[in-house]
Amino acid sequence: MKNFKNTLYYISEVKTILKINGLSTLLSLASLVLIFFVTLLTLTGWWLSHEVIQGIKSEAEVSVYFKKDLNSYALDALKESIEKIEGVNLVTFVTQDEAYEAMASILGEEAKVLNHFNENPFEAYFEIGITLEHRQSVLEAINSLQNVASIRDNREILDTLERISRFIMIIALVLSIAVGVTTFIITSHIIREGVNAHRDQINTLQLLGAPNRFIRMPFLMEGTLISVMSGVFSVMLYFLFIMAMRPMVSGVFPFWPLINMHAITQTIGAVVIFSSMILGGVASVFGLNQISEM
Amino acid sequence: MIRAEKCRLIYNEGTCALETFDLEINRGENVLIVGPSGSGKTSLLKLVMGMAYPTEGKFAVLGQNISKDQSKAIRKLRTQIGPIFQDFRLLSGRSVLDNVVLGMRFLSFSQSEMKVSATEAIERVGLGHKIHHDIDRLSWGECQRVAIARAISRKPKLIVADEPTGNLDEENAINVLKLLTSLSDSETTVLITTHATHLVKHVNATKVLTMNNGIERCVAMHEEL
Ligand SMILES: Nc1ncnc2c1ncn2[C@@H]1O[C@H](COP(=O)(O)OP(=O)(O)O)[C@@H](O)[C@H]1O
Ligand SMILES: [Mg+2]
Repeated sequence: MKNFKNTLYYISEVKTILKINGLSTLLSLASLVLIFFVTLLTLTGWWLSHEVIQGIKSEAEVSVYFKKDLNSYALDALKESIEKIEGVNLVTFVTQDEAYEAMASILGEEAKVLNHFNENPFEAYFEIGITLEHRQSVLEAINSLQNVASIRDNREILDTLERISRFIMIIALVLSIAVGVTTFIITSHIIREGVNAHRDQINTLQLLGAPNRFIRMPFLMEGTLISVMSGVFSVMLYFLFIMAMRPMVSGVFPFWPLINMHAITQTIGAVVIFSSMILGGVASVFGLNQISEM
Repeated sequence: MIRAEKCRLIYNEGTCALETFDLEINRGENVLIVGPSGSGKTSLLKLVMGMAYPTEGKFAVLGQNISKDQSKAIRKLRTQIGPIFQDFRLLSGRSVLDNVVLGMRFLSFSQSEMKVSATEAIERVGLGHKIHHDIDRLSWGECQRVAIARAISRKPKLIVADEPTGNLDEENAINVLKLLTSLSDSETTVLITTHATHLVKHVNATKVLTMNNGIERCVAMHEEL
């Protein structure tokens, strides 16, 4: 009971402190919500790009082009040797015509550019599905085969995507740090303002023998509350935003339905709210350190 | 209760507020500290409250040494003191009851004990009918009584009052001095400062400290008269 007897008092003190700098507190809160929101979006962007890469990787395919003028025996032999390589799942022969059709369907409306060619510009090839962990050894093994002319895999696209993903990650990290620092500065500034406005009261309580924990508790609660409220509001804004965006993005990637958007947004939301709580607490303690002894 | 040995207080920029003095005040005493303005009365109370530290010598209150390295223990010591500041240090925008209760929240009173003790104290100073009034709507004299109520509700071992006669007229000044001296008992010591030397004879104290740039003399009440 003794430990809780002051709870209501603390809460009413927090209200009093909040009222003193009402407008500036409100503005600080609004800016915190905005920067939290931007961070949430960037973190989501990073995670999504990561998922997209995983999606592309999981359906890794390699196209193997062979030397011209191979007879069907040689082709069968080549197919057989490829199938024997560890890590190769499926080898399909794609004829010149099929290659043409495939490109035509990818180009869709633009397929008429293909009419400029007098003869089919595409070559027949083997399409090979491979397991990811064997990618390197499979590529080396295929390369060493006699009749192979060239290999095309989606590595370049993957590399580019990975570079983009790393870039987003760096932005997300930098932003997270910036947000952390900003939250810290804003929160401890709010606390400092509150302490300044209550200097007389704090001094009186010190002279009456109140322990620091009693004097600081309302300010600590205030700082944590403001920070957590910014976190919660920004997460709410973020959920609304994601819900509004979903119909526009879905279907961009074939594996989109596989991405668990709920898990992503909920995890990021929880992390941001939790961090905002810790940050608010630490920043308040920091802001409170300037209370001098009476 | 209070013990000083070869104690001296010089403020930072060199003002010597209290020349070297020895002092002993025992439990249950009722001490009047009198002297003209600037004679060091408030400075002596600051030592008692741990708001100033002796420049030389030793000063101890309730067995607690007053020195800079003791600030944590001094904070604890203050929980046993009921101070009535010259400017009262009440919190504006709050009721009489809130002000009194605030002085007890961090002591070992339960919620209901706080309420009882605060109400009793407020009634004792004659403000029972204004218990829920806002501090800002009270007169100077009423505020002083709230400050007294806050001090005594804490059930302190030591009550200190700085210039409680302030600019009160003689009748009211004597009344407030009588109220304060009545607070001492076998467990409670009371220290009161005043520059109104002529009022001393109306008050029932155990000791009178006469101040002039420090403690000039300290005699039992009957010797003073
Ligand atoms: N904080 C302070 N810093 C420097 N000098 C002070 C301070 N407080 C009081 N003094 C000086 O100490 C002397 C005693 O002051 P004080 O204790 O307030 O006397 P009184 O309460 O009897 O009027 C005075 O000369 C005063 O100017
Ligand atoms: Mg004084």
